[in-house]
Parts: sequence; C-alpha cells; structure tokens
Amino acid sequence: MTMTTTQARWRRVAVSGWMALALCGGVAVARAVTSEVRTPSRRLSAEERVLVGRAAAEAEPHWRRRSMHSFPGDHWSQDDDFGASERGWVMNEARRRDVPVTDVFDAIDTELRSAAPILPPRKASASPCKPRPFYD
Amino acid sequence: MTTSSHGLLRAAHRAASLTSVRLALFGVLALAACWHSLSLAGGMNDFRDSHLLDSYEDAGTRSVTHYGQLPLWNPWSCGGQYALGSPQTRVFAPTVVLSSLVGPRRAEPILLWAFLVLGMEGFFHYARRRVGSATGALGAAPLFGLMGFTALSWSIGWLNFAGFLLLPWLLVGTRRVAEGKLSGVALVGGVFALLLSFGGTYPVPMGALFVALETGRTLYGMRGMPRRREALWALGITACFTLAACAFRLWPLIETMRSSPRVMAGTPGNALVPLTKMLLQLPARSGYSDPGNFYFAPAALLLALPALALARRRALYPAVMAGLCAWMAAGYSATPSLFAGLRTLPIFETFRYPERFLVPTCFFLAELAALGLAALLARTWRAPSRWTWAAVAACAVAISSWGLQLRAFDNLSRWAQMTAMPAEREQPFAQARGNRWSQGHLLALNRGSIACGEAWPVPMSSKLRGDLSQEEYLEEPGAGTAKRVEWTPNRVSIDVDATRPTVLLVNQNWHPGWKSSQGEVISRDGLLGVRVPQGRQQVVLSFLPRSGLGGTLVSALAWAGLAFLMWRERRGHRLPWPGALGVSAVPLAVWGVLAMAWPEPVAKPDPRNADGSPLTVAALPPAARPVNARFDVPVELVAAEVPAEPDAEGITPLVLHWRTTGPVPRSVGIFVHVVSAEGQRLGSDHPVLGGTWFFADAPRDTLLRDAFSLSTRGWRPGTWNVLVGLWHAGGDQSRVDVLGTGGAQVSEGRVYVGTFTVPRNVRANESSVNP
Repeated sequence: MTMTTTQARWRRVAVSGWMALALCGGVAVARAVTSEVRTPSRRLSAEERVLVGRAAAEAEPHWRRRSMHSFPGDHWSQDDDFGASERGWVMNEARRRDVPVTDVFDAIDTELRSAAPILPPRKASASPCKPRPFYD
Repeated sequence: MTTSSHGLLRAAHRAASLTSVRLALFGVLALAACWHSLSLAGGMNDFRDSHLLDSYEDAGTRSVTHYGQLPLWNPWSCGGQYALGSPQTRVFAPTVVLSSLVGPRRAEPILLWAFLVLGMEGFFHYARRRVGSATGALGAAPLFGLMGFTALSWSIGWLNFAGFLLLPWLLVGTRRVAEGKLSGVALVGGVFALLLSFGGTYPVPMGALFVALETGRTLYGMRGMPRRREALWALGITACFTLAACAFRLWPLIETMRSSPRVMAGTPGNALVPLTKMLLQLPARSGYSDPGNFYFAPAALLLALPALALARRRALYPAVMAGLCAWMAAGYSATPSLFAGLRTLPIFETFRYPERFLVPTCFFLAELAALGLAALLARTWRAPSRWTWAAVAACAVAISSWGLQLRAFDNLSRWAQMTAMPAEREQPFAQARGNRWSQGHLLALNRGSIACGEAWPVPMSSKLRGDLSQEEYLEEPGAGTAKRVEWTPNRVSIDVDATRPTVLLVNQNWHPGWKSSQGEVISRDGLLGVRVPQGRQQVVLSFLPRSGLGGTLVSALAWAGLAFLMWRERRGHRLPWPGALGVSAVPLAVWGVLAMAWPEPVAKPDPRNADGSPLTVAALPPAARPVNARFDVPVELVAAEVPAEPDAEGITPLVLHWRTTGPVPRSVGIFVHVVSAEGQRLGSDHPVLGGTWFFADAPRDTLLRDAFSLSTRGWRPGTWNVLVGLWHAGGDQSRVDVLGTGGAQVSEGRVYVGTFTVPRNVRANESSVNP
C-alpha cells in the first residue's frame, strides 16, 4: 500500500517531533552539565584554619547557652539551634574572607579533633534526632 | 469558514494525537520552565532542607561511584542510617543512574525537566479519556504540569515532591486495570514503586487516596455486574502486584517506622484568603512567601465555565473533587475539618501540611479546563458559525495561561539559594559533629554529620562522637588494639588484637542489618558494636539487611510474575482471573516465608523524653510528690516532681507522672500553667507526652514519666505555682474536668502540683550544657 501525501507529511511531522524532543533533552543535559556557579577566589591557609577553628570554639559556649534557654530540656532542639547559630557564623566568616564555606567547616572539624576530648560547655556529640511534634 | 475551521480542528486533533509532536511541545515548555534551574545546576542548593535531602542523593551516588556498592547504608547522615528505610531518600530510584553519571546536583534540574514532560504527558492521557478530546487534553496538560508547587519543590531541595506529577499515570493505570488490561497493573504498580523509591512521602499516600476514588468512579460508571466483577478481579491482582513490586522499599520503611514512629500533633490550617493566594497569586521573584506556592493560572479558571455550562455531568466529578481538595487544604481552619478526619487514618496521621492538597486541586481544575476546551471545540465542529470565536478565545486563554504558569515557575525557581559546589577533599571517612543546616559541605570532606535534622526520629546513639582520632575502637582501651583495614559504606574491616574478650565499637549507629564475620553484633546504647573473643582476628562488618535484600527479591518476583501473565496473554492463553490472582500472590507468600525464615534482631522503639530520659518508669522515685488526680478521661496524674528552685542556669526541670487506664481521645493534651504570686501566668502546654506519645497511644496501666523544663531567665523573682490539667488540644480546646484528687488543690480544671522559687539573681554556669 502506498503512502498518501498527507500520510507522508504527518510522518515527517512525527519524525520532526521526536527530533525536537531529543533536542530539548540534549539542551537540558548540556546546560546542566556546563553551568557553573562562581567559586570564592581563595582558600583558607593553614594558619587561617587554626584561627578560624579557635574563633568558632570561643563562640561555642555562648551559642550553647542561648540554645539551652531557647529550648530548655530539649536536647535535640538545643543542638539544632546551636547548629543554626554555627551555620550563620560560618557563612559570615566565609563571605568575609571570600573562602569556600567548606573550608570553614573543615577548620572547625580539625579544631574539634585537635582539642579532643571536647568537654562541656562545648560538645562534640549530638543528641538523637527528635523532631518536635508540631510546628503550627 | 466551515471548511477552514474543520481543517484547523482536524489538524490540531491530529497533531495532539501524535505522541512525538505532543512530547516535543511538552519538552519545549519544560525546557522553558527549567531554563533558570538548569543554569544553576553547577551550584549547591543552600536551603536547609536541600542540605538534608540532596545529601542523601549525594551519599547514595558516592556509594555507587566511589565504592561500587548499592546505597543500602548511608554512613554520612545522622551517624549512619538505613538508606532504604529512610522515607525521604531517593537513592533506590532508577534516577540514581543519572545522578551517578552527571553528579547528583547537576542531575536535579534534568530530572525536573523529565518529570515535567512526564507529568504533562500523563495528564494528557488521563484527560483525553475523561473529556474525549485530544486537543482539549493537550491544552490543559501544561496547566497541571507547570503548577507552581513543582518549581517551589525544586527551589528548596524537595525534588521528591516532583512525584506528584505522576498522579495522572496512576489514575490512567487504574482505569486500564478496571478495563481488565494487564498494562494497567504494570502502570499502577510501577508508578507506586517509583514514587516510593523516589521518596514520595506525600505523593504515595495521596496517590493511593485518589486511586481509590478513581476506582470507585470507574466502577460506578461501568455497566453490568460481569464487567464489574472482572474489574474487581483485576483490581485484586493490582493490589497484590503493587504491594509486592513495592516490597523492596515498603519492607524497610515499615520496619523503620515501627521502630521509630513519627508523631505529628498540632492543628495546621489555612484560611480562605491565604489559601486562594497560594493557588492564584503570581509568586514573587525572590524570598520565601506563601502566595503563589501552588500557582495555577487564574485565567485558566475561565475554561472551567464552559465545562460547567456545557458538560455538566462530566464536570461534576472534577468540580466536586477540586472543592473537596480545597476543603482538605484548609486543614483545621475549616469547620468541620476534612483534614482532621483524614488524619484519623493510619499513615495520613503524619501529614503536616494540609495545603499540599492544592496539588490535586490543580489537577482537577486542569481537568475542568480540559473539559471546557473540549466542549467548545466539539460545538465548533458542529456549528462553526456560532462557536468558532468562543473556541478561539478559549485557546487563547489556555495558551496565555501556559505563559503565566511559565512565568510563575521561573519566579519560584529563582527562590533557590545557590552556592558554589563544595571542593572535594579526599580523606579517610570519619564522623564529624557536623551541621545539618549545611550538611552538603561535610560530605565533600568525607565527613559524616552526627547533627541530624530529619523529619522523623532517626534511631541514633547518644554515644556518637565527632572528635575521635579513630572511628573503630575497643570499648575498654586496655583490652588491646583495633585498626581499620578497609572502609566502605556497606562493609568495614578491622584488625583486632584483643588481650581478653571485649567489645569492638564502631562510631556509627547500630542497625539489625549489620552482620559480622567474627563475634556477635550488638547495640551498645545504639552504637554499632561487636563482641570479640580474645586473640588476633580480622572483623568484617557487612550491612546485609533482611528487609532490603528480601524485599528486592519479592519485588523481582512480582515483576517476573507479571511478565509471565503478559506473555501468556500475548500468546492468546490468558490465565483465568483466579489463576492470575494466584500468580500475583506468590511473591507475597514468599515475603511471608522470608519474614519468618530469615531471622534478624528487631529494632524496638526506645521512647524517651526530649531530655533523653526514659518515658516509662517501673516505680515512682522518692522525690515525686503524690497528686492522684483523676480526669473525665481515663487518665490519672499520679505524681509530680517540682524542684524548690531553678538550677544554676535558671532552668527548672519538671516531671509529671501519668497513667492511662483506658482509651483516651487523641485530642487530649496537657496544659501547664505556672502562676506567680502576683497572678502572672506562663505556660508549658504540650499535647504529646515527652514529644513521643499522645495519651491515646501511650501504653496503659504504666507509669509515664513526662519530663520537660522551663527557662526562668528574665522571670520575676519569687514563688511560682505549677498547675496542670488536660484539654482537648487537637479538638475544641475545651478543658477536661477533674473528677477527684487525693487532696490536691483544684481550681478551674487545674491541679496544683508544686511550687518553686525564682531567686533574685540567676547564676551563670556554662558547664551545665548537656554533654
């Protein structure tokens, strides 16, 4: 059976459709694979790491005490609140020094290990996850 | 006019019916929607939820690419957790292949694009059957596919919510099942399995709800009992197949949720105006706000009008469903609350956000729009001179609605806070104290974060530490040495030289799936441990969970069974329904046999208060002051512990000892009033005992120790009385009457339990932070 002109035209349209879909997928992949987000221009030096680690250690008791009063008797929430304070400080520090956030966390981790065992009012353990039962 | 209208309609119908053309259109629209997201693929989403959820994918991908292992155990999160048993992970979905190929962060917007295309295509199939017009279905598909919630989900790292876009495929499958087609069985089971593996905490239960409703709708629309009976057989097969096909994920999830149930209290609700804004207001281009979170172009509502006017019978179901979903989305703000009713059902009791029911609202509004378009186009075909311009206007409204939704999608995508991808640092794995708000950075350092911010109580050890010099060590330091030989997520090898029998500890959480080549695996306060004998030995710990491996076998059998049924059908030897049901039930029987014959320790719930103390006690401590108050529900306040004054930090720890003796309504919670001598009142109400149990769920005839604390910093010095009562916190908020006490004072439905004195100057002692 021979194909009519209309059928042939629709067949071409169908093929074009598949090609367009493949092109869209290809563009999506290419754009995702090649996109970049600006990285900070410098890294923390070894000396700066020590300084940053110490600065975080000095600030920790204050954050811990604040968390204790914000969430009295709720150990997980206290740790979580402390984590939020620490994160805020880390972000500011990274922005101020124009270094990756990862470097600042690395500095804190290194300091914790070098000062081990960490004792109160600081803390190197975590309270088991116990999300609050309601948020409204 | 007639000829040109007919020609145009015919061409539109033909184009809409061509899969490739349709998909190309959806592909282009999805690309436009994702354009901004794709341009950010090289960064890391810095939103807190993204740090948690995307880190799961990062960890899973790391297991595959760095260690060549299945992502069964995730040592980087929460001190180690069962990846398959964690509800929000998507590491066992097929999408992990793409994550492994291009990286988990770069894969996200590509997956978003693919889900958008799938969502629009699924809606097209659903709507074409429902409204009888390919062109109408095509016009409305982007209204559902490009709803705002998907963009919001991507922006804040909830890609698992893209699973909502597969809802129409579930309904298409359900209808096919009711028609006796095995392809429908495969579709329903396959989509549920995909949704579960993709972390669909809301899409799965909500999908099940709408599948049940679609089943009812389809059965109702069928003529004659024989067809209905056939449909019921097919639905039975679908239920068996779906359960078994999901076993690889369902079994681990059930196991986990039984050992760590999530409690959800509160009465979330949305008033009509905010709800309308969430649905219909164009979202802002920056910041996090509720308006537009679930954007559905208001112009598209115009398309519902011809549906309601010209196709009333067909419009009834989607109109009613859209209304019911909106009612559900209002949560506790609506009276009566449909959402409150839903929450009485198992699984749905953990739903937190009623507004997510705006997703199905969008779906049914889009169905109404499809119906409106279809009705106008059908009339144009029959009477072009009267209806052509109305149809042209409707098409213009549909296309402009696509534009509005694209704009909203782009705006919501811009809410994403992207930061530079963290620089990888190769070093041996160790647990760090970490930070759940920035977990993605820790993973790049090959550090686990024991700070955990999951939405459910992950089983964790309080013995985990983030300052250890070695992650594997002997419990008694003098009992010998332990040295790591090999470390991978699912297998750890340690050389142990023990001078006496001892316990080897690994700085990760225990799970019953851990097996050891030597000695017995134990939980040491939730920490992974192995009893090792005296002598030199290599201990190889392997993570081989029964539920994950057994469940995968059951799921494989389910697909094999379905393939067999389809093969028989293709050859013209279709099995009779009872036989087909038998085949689909075989994997479930295997599941039962595996559960009984494959022994594995059971992780049991360890109910604790927020301060880590046990929630049940065998007897009252000597410091407890008897109260013996009985209430108008079977709850007794047995005793209370109130210190004379706050501790050195100004914290006042309080303990209430309760006992339940019968069924208690779920609405019942505790109120605590702390009243000064001057009459100033402060409170510490809590509807859930120790953050763990509603009274309704607490074990009966057991002493329940409810511990909580007050910070008295800034309080007026002097004496403060503590008064306790019960109220319907999750209901009408009325107080529960006190029936009698053993002499304790009662006023206004409150029982006096003690007094403490806030001193003039609260001393500061920083060493009192919990260790």
